[in-house]
Amino acid sequence: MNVDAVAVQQLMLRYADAIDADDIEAWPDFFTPDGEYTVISRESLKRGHRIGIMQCLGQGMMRDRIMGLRDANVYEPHCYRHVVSAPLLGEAGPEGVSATASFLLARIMRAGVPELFLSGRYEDLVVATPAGLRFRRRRVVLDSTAIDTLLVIPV
Amino acid sequence: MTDTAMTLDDYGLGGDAFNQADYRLYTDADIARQEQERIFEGQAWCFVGLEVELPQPGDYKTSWVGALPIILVRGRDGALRAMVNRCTHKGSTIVFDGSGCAERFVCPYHNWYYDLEGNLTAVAFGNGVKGQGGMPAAFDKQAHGLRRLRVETIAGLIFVSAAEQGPALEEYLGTRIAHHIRRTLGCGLVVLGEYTQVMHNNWKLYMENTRDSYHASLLHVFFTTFRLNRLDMAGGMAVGENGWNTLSYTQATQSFTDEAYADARALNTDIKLNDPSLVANWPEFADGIVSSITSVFPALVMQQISNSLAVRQLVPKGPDRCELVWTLLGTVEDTPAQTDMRIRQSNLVGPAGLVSMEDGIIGNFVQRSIASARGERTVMRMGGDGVASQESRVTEAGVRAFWKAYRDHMEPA
Repeated sequence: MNVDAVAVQQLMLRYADAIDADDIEAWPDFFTPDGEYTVISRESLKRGHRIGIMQCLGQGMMRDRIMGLRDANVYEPHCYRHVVSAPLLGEAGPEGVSATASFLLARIMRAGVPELFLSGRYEDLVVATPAGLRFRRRRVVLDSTAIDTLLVIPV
Repeated sequence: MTDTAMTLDDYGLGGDAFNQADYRLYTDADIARQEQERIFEGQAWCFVGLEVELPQPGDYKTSWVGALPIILVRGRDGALRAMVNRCTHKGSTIVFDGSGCAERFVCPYHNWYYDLEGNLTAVAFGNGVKGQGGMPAAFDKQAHGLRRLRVETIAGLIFVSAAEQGPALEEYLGTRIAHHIRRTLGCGLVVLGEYTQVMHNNWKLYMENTRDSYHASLLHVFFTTFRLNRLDMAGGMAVGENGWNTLSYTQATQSFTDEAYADARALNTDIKLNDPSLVANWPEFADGIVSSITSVFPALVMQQISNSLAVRQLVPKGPDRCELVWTLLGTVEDTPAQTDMRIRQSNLVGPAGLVSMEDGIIGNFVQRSIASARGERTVMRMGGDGVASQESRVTEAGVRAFWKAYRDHMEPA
C-alpha cells in the first residue's frame, strides 16, 4: 500500500482539528466502520492490561460516546487544544501502515486558563479506503495513569 | 478542630439520626488531621491492595492508609505484611518504584537495610570506616524496625489496620457485606485494568456518593436513558450490623414505567444505543443481583455494574483533594466471550465512564460552593432518619451509615 507521510499527517491533523473545533460528530468518520479506538496508560500497556480508560470497538460505540456527551452526561463545558507531532511511519503491511505521533493536550474550562490535561502518543494503523485514509486502529497511550476529574471528549 | 472545644455534636453529628453534617467537616485542615489519626490510623480496616498483585514471595507494592505511606509485601513464608514506608533514620521514602520483587528493602538516602518483615538488619558504615565514625555500640537495630500494621484478607482483598488491636475484619465488615464480597470476588481474580482519578473534593464527599442510591439515576442520566438502572427496579440498601458498611443492590430488570420519573430531568425515551454490545451481559450471580455497590468505611468501594467488576481505593490528599485508584477485575474462569463483555462494559465506569463520569465532578460542585460556609449543614433525610437496611434505594440510609461510622471512629463511645 502506498501511503505517504504527508497524507498520514493530514489525517492526524484533521482529526485533532475536528475535535478542537467541537465537531465531535465527525470523529467516528476518521475511522473505518470496524475501527478501534482505545485510550490506555503506558503503565497499563506494559502490564498487559486488557482494559484502559476508554475502548470503542467500531463506529457504533463511538457514536454512542457522542450521544452520551451531547445528551446524557453532566460535565462542565470545556474544549481541547491538541498539539500533534509529525508522524513516524512504520512498515506498510497488507493491513495498512502503522504510524505514531506524540501529542500534548490542553483542556480549557469555561472561563479557565488552559491547563496541560494529557500527554502521550498515538499508535495508529492507517488504511486507504475509497473515501481516503482512515484509522483502522488508533490507540492513545497516555504517559500518566492519572486522569484529572473526568474524560468525556475523545483525545 | 478549629475550636478545640468543639465536638462532633457541634457539627450536627450528635444523637442517633446522622441526618445532617456541618460543611466545615469537608474543608477544615484540622479535621483532616484528626481523621488521619482517629480513622485511617485508628481502628478502621483500610483496603490497600489485592493478593493477585503479590503472587510470589518478595513481591511488594506501595500503597496508602489515608496519608500514611505503606509497603505491602509477601514474605518468604508466603504471609502478607504491611509496614510504614518511612525510614526510621531520617524519614525518607524507602520504596519509591511502586511495585516489584525484592529480597530486602534499602533506604536510598543512607542505605539502611530492612528485611521483608520490616526489621532493621544493617546500617551502612555502621561500624565506621577505618576505625573512625560509625554508630555507637549501644545503638539497637531491633528498636529501629519499620512500624508494622495488622493485615487481614477476604476474597483476595487485602486490608490493614494501624491499631494494635481492634475488631477482626469480618466483624468490622458485617455478615451481609462480608458475604457479598466473597460472592462477588470469590473465585480467582485477574486484573484487567488500572487507573487513577484525581478529584478536587474532600474524600468524604466521594464516599458518601458511593452510598447514595438516591442520586444514581438522577445524576447519571446515561443509565436512566437506556433503562439500565432505575429506582423502580427491585433493590435495596443493606447496612452491616455495626451500621458502618453498605451494600446498594439492584435485582433483575422489571418492566419500566416512566411515571416515577415524571418530575426528574428530561427522560429521552427515543434514545437507543447504536451498538447495544456496550451493555451485552450474562447473569453472573445466582442471587439475581445485576448491579451492586459495596462501600466499606472508610475508603473502599467494590463495584459490580452488570459484569463490570472493580475495586476502588480512595486516598485523601488534604481536605480538598483525593485520588481514586480503580482496579478492574475479571476471573480466571472467564471465557473469551465473557472477557469481551467485561471490556465493552468497562466503558460505563471510570473517569471516562458513560455512567460514572459525573462522580468525578459532583464532589467538586459541592466543594467549591461550601468554602464560605460557617455552620450551615447538609440535609440527609430521604428514607427517614437512622441507618437501618431498607428495601428501597430512594434513601440516604447508606449515607447516614457513613456518618455513623465516622462518629464511632472520631469519637468512640
